[in-house]
Amino acid sequence: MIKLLFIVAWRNFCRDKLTSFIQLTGLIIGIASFILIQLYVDHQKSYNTAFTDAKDIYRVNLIRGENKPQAQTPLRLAKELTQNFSEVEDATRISPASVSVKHLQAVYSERALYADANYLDFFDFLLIEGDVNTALDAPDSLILHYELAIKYFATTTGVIGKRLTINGKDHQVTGVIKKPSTPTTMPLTMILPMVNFYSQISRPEWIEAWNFNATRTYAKIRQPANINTLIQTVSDYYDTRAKGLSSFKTNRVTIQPLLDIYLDNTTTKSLTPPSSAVMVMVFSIISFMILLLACVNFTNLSTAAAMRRGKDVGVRKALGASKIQLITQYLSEAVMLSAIASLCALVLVFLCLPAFNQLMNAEISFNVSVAQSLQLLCLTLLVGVLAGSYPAFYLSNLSPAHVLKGLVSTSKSGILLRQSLIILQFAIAAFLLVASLVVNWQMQYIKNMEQGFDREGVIVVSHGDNTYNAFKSQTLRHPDVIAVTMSHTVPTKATRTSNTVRRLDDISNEIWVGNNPVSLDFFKTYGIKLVSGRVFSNAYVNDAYKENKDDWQSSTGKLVINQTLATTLGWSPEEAVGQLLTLGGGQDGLHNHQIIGVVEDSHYVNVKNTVPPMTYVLSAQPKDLSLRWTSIRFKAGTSLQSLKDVEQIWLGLAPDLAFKYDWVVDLFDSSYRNESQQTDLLNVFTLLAIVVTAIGLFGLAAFNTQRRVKEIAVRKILGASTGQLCFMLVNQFSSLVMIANVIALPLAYLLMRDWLDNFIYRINMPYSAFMLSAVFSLMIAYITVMVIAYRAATAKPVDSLHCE
Amino acid sequence: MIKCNQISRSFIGDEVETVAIDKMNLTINEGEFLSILGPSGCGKSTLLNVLGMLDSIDTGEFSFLEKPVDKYSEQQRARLRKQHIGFIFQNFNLIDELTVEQNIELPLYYHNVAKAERKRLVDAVLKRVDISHRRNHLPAKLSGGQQQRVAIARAIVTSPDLILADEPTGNLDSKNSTQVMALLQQLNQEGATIVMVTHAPEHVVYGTRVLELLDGKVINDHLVKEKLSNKENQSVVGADSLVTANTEQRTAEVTCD
Repeated sequence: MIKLLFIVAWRNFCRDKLTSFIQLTGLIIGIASFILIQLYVDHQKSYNTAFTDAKDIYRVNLIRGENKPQAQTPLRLAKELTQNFSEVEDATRISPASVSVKHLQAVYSERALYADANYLDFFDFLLIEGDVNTALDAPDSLILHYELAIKYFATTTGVIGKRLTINGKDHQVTGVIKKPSTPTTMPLTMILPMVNFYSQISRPEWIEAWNFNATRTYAKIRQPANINTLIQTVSDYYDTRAKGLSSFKTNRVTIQPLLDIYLDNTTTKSLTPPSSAVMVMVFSIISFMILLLACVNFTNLSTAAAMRRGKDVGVRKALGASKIQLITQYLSEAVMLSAIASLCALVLVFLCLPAFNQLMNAEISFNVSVAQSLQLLCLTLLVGVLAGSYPAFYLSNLSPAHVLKGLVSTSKSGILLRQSLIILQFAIAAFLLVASLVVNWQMQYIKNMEQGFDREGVIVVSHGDNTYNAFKSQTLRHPDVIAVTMSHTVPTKATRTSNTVRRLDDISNEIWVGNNPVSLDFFKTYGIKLVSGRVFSNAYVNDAYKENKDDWQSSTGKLVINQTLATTLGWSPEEAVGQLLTLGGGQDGLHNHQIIGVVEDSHYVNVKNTVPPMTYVLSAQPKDLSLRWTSIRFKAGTSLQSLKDVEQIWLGLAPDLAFKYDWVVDLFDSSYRNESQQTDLLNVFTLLAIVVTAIGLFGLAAFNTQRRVKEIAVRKILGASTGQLCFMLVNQFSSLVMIANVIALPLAYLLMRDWLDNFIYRINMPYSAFMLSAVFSLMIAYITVMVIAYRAATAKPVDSLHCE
Repeated sequence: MIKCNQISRSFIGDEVETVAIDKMNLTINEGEFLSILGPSGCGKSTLLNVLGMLDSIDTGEFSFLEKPVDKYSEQQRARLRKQHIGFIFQNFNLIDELTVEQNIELPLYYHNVAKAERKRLVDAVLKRVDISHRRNHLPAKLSGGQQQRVAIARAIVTSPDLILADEPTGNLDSKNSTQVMALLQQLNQEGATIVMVTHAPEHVVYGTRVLELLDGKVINDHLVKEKLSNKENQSVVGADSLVTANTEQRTAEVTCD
């Protein structure tokens, strides 16, 4: 009996090849998309899950004033937590920094993590070599990730005891970390003992300072129930100690589960760029939508084909088949088809995964484990039953007397259902269309937005303060170099220091500002335009900023401010020039400085953050105000040779310091990497959703046209032109598509409005997207149906009448 | 009106080539009511389709209103057909989703007739075929005879020069058949040229001329009235007619019926 079931199913599949092919293609695309998106979603959710204690580990973030939470905390916070809060079982710190690695005469720049000795207790990576318990104990110890071990020693075994010179200090490899199979927010690089980080801090007192944030603090907390109370008490503890040290009015902490870190894109200064929980949820929904679309295709075509199967039902019923037997027959056909589709989808997923990984810059692997096989089996059954149940119940309910007379096709409910399903499909497609248009345009907008600086042709190099003056004078001799400067921070990176400023006539009104200490030529190098006044210059001896800690009043230095600050202070750019501002406060005394110029606003970090009011002060020598970044502007279209020349100058002056540069353009782009990837993904799956919808419509149109072939012939004989017939056939779907748009577009409007509201800099709601979506979905419907309509309308009428 | 010179049409099946019309010569004059008789597969319907320009010929010359249709494109033929020919089918071929009125209006719509004029013409033709009281019904609600009357109304609403009827009574009982035939006869008497394919020899009396086909060839071609008089005169008509005693007798019987 079961054999017969499959034989009949197979023969039915073969009988109407077009319908079966369409059903199958739709299902394959649907299931494959579903699997791919789910793999992506699982991957996104799996960050940090491999660590044994993952559930008990939390990251402590600071919320200072009105700022977003930041992961960067004071160095002493970990110690304070373990000593004063019994809930905290243990705490560890991680400070990233770029280091110069010298090996076999060559110098490389690496991003290193300075960590406490208990790092591996928290983040229990597997070691290929080395002892987990002692690997970070010695001050010269060094743990390498497998990739770095291969880079420097061409092997991952027998590396223990080998040496690397890092920032001029000899280190001995004590452990090699195996490549983790689950993604983590821990950068896979080299790990050095925390003590080495201390030696890099320019002022030793900062190590114990409450307002010097230089590390990420992680805590193990075993009683998650009390987390809110703990947040309160730690916040109060932190606030009483940090108050007055900085310009921030409030100092709070949040304690965030390690497992939530990756999908939290609000908190700044995470070790790895975060993803977006909203986007992951959106993709989850899209995957279900596409699967639903595919199921709808299946149901739609199956009920449409019911006319053909109707006679079969009649005969079977007349021969004594029970309803259950018929349902079993039709459901098993559906499940068989969905099983075939699942297998093809699996193959498709395997084939697409490399391209998908490239698109998403991810390492998603797809191993068919027992659990995954079971899931797939459930999915197959679900799809089969979901897609096949309506046709099965519908067919089995037919009265044999009716179907034998061929009266199935005129069933009103069947037509209504098919139309509703088409509406549903087009509503989903129209919704996704609007969403991707709006998302794409918004992303384009923020990427192309005026940043207030010219990001083309500028490289930044970390460090260089010791040799800066010689480097600058030598480099400027190079014909391709336009300008060289050093600064505390550079565009695309967050401002690291802040100030409080007040107008002399309104001393109580404190304004928090970001502060960027720079050397000469900073504005020239970054192309930041002067609005009024002048920029720092050698010609004026008093431009350089110097705080006198013994006599605050006698501090010297001029200020350049940005437009936002001028506006905040209530001055036009012209009025601001020449005015005095009062700086300082907290433990520092107050001191006045004159504004000499106002420059255009420029974005630091990126346009996901608003432009803060900014002051720029001049650092006479890079060391004075701890300038960190050397920036070099080249002529447009400079060659790689120029970069090599500059590197030679650099290495000639500082042989132990790697010349690791980044183009500001690349830094800028990478700050939007996650968004760009997710936009791409949204586009791909919107396209797929449209394809699946079009496939379904094609099938249904083919079926409908087949049903009306006689009518078409009659109309043709009565004088209808090909155009008139095509229009008639195509037009039957346009009202459905319009209804779909009417349903989908208001929903899309509400959701996109909320989404856009999340952006500080946003486009106005683009109503053209809604127009385009409506027009485009109609066009899709027209083109799809036109293919069939044209064939039918140009057929010889006599042939159609013959096949009566 | 129609001149066919040595026309042929054959269909190539999987294995055999079927000759439906074999080098046929035929002239149809305006005002004639031609009945085509013959067994199944003799080429009656193919001939009708060729005459109606629904099908093309393989060889030969075919002119309609002195226009060389055999040299026309599909589109030109469609235009000619639209202007001059009305069709009536055995299975009526009414469009199920349209009412009686809408079915009849359809060709006018395709002829770009203005709405008011359409209504006037439809009203007139409805009256003529005596189906006005059913104008808002769907075809499924009508009897076979009524459906065929609607189909005839639809065929004549554009006042075609030629009406082609493919077994118009094939699906009807005798009472309805008689009504339909009477209607066709009346149309003919009012000036319409009619070509009708039929399986029912008794219906040829409604027409003016009879054409008998066998295997794609004309085996008998004579006028109905002349035939009657010929029978009385015991003579054979038409030098070129291949009249056998058999067919003569059958025609005679029919005529006497």
